[in-house]
Amino acid sequence: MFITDIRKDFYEVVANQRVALLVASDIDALCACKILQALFHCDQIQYTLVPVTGWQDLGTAFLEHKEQFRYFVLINCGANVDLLEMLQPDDDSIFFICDTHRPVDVVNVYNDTQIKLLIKQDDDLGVPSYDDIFRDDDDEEGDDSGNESDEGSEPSGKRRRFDEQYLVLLILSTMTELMLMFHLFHRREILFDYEQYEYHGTSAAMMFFELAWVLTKDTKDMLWWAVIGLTDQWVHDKITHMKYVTDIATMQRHVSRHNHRNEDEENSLSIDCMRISFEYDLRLTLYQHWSLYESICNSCYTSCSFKLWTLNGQKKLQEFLADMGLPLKQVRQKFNSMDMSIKENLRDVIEESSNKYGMKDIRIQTFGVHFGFKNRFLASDMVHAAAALLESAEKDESNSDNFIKALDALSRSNLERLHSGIDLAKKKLMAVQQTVASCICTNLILSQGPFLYCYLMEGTPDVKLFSKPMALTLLCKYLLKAFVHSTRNKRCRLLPLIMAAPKDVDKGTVIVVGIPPESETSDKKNFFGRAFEKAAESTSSRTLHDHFDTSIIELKSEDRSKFLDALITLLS
Amino acid sequence: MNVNKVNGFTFQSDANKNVFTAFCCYKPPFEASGAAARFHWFVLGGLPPSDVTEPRDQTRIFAANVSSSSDIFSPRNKKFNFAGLCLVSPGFTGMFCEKAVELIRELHRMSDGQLPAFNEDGLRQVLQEMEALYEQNQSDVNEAKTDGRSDLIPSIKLRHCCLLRNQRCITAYLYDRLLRIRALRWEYGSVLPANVRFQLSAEELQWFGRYKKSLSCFMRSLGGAEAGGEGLDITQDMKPPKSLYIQVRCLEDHGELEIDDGTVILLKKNSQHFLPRWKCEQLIRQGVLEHVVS
Repeated sequence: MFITDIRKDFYEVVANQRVALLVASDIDALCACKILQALFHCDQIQYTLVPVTGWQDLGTAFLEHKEQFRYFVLINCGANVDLLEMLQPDDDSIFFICDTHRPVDVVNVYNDTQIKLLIKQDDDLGVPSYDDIFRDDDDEEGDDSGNESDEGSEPSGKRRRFDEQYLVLLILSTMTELMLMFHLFHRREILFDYEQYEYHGTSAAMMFFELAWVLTKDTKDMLWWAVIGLTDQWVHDKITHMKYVTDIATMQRHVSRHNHRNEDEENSLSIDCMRISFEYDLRLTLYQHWSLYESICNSCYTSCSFKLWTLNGQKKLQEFLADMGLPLKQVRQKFNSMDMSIKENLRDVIEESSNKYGMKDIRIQTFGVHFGFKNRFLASDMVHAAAALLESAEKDESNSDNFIKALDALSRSNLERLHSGIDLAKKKLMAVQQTVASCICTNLILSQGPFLYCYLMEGTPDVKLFSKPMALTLLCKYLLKAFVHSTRNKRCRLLPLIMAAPKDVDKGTVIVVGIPPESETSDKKNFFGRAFEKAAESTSSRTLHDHFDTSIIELKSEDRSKFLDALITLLS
Repeated sequence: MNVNKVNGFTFQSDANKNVFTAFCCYKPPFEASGAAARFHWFVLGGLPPSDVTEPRDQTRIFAANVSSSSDIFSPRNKKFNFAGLCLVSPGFTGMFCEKAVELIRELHRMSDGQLPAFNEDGLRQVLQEMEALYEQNQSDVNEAKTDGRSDLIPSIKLRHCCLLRNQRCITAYLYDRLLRIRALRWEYGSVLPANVRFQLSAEELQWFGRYKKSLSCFMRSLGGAEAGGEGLDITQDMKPPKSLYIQVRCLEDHGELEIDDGTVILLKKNSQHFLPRWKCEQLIRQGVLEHVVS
């Protein structure tokens, strides 16, 4: 069931209890987790934090902790599956689920006792009504008892009336059976429509920030984490642009509330205090921690608009820089060492020039943080750094090690972690750009009819980075954008993309990701989850649907071709 | 002022007072010119005899006006009040009290409270040296008394100083070890890990047991002297705690931990927990948990 009053129905329920937090591995979940941890520290609520990467992890963690805990809080996992059937908990376990995955499973919505959803009942949830899906058994029983009483009251009645009554009974029972069939069919259709497309809702970090606000225990740190959670959804293309702008407006209200303290000459805040400010900043990834030139080359938006994998594109870039009057020497330097005169009006200058080159949205609304003399970060910088740490492909580090590192990097006191994350993010972005360039230049993207398909061979440089779901999804989106810009085939531009990359060389598995087609007004709804399931069933391929996003699966490399064929027939 | 140079040493003497300073006290054994044997020189003061290069009677120590043995034996003090020169037999492997000082150096080397293994051999050697010195002194005292040989008195004095020095060194060694063992109780709790217990001698273990007992008696007596008094565990919270609960991260799989109200927590690697401070302190010291400050 949906929780209406988050303070009364969630926070005060767990206030004197011990809670187990099961947190998924994405940045939004990490930020939500940090906010919740800070709240728990305030009120001294004992908890145990367990990172989970997939359904199997979730099951194991639950089994290990079910003896000791009664209350479980699941962050960014568990809403889109029938949780009670999967975990088989005891009757007194209570689950609080704060998940951005939609659609929310109907059993989770209509269960009144054990599942509490910390989700806002937005208009776009579209949950089917109870009567449509769950048939009350009372009607059937009523009919039966009516039948029995009819029979009983006329034990030996006149033959004719008995015949008539018998006919009536027959008709009634056939009708009820038919109704039952219709109902089931209708129900299946409704559920199919409801569960067909997968998309994402409001950020979990924002939900918990709202909880903190309602408790009036919100701090600037929590606000910053909420902003990072929202930005993660935007960077990884999980929400539409409209929703992003709406949520930014909500956050802006909170930011101005926190900045309300009057800063005049007499009582100005110390330079070490944290300041969050609204920025209408450039869409160049990590540009303040890199050189401007590198950032332009490695940001998806600019790279695709200029088509930097072609010679023509490189020339255009040089023209662009010349148009703005930025000397090459300056532009290739670290951003912090650029001349002040250039840095002052940089954003406006770039916006003007990029309008000429067809990049209308080079600036995006976001937030930046500023503490101490040296430390300025944009929200997207933090997202990229934390994502790179979370999925770093080092040999000795397990998933939970990376989780801990990424969690640490989000605190303000662990700046070296954050900087190492930024370095990793730079390497990751460069790897993505090079892979995109090589895929486009060597025409690795094939049109299979209803979708586009690309397979990364094992010998590709940096292919280990792309064995992780978030990195592969990022590559997928960049590749699709680049393809759309570079292809002449109008039909191909409207196709979705499926990408496969080797995941585990020893076990011989590949990771397969599907993303919806690229368009300006895309609603980011992904149908590949169900499609993958059906294709796997029909060909009995050995797949593992372990990730919380159903559009990401693991597949045995031998079954790849038959799986693809099944998909083609399914979707065409 | 007479200035004498003997084999690299420079002596200045004030003939009236018979006290003078030298610029070098103890040098590693060197070949005396003209002699086949090596000598260890102890410069105690006084004019060096003119025939200093010749081997002397090996067991006789020639000294006078020894102010105090600490002046002689402190290696840092290079300026000495000397009253004489003495030769020791070449079979002697070093100065007196050297073994005792080595014991002290051993403890000094491990300065951060760690406990080295109990040096039974060293202690035994020092005690043997003390016994030898005592024997020699006994015989000399008897000789001095009966034969009236007053020139043996400085050597008796020297040996006595050496005995006292050895005694001081040994007691310092043992006492410092006891202080470190006492600190172990506060750091590790009442059960010492096996590798630490290995470093203690049997008597030290006994002492540790008695210390534990007296500490626990004291703790029990706090918080109400009557029989029902709960006592106070003063080994917890060595620094004033900032909060009741702390956030800890598990560094290795440790299994289950039971908290005061009976609930059990599974400590798995890389899980984070928010637990009462007093429960975690032991595990933090052992390195199973790590305190996370964010």
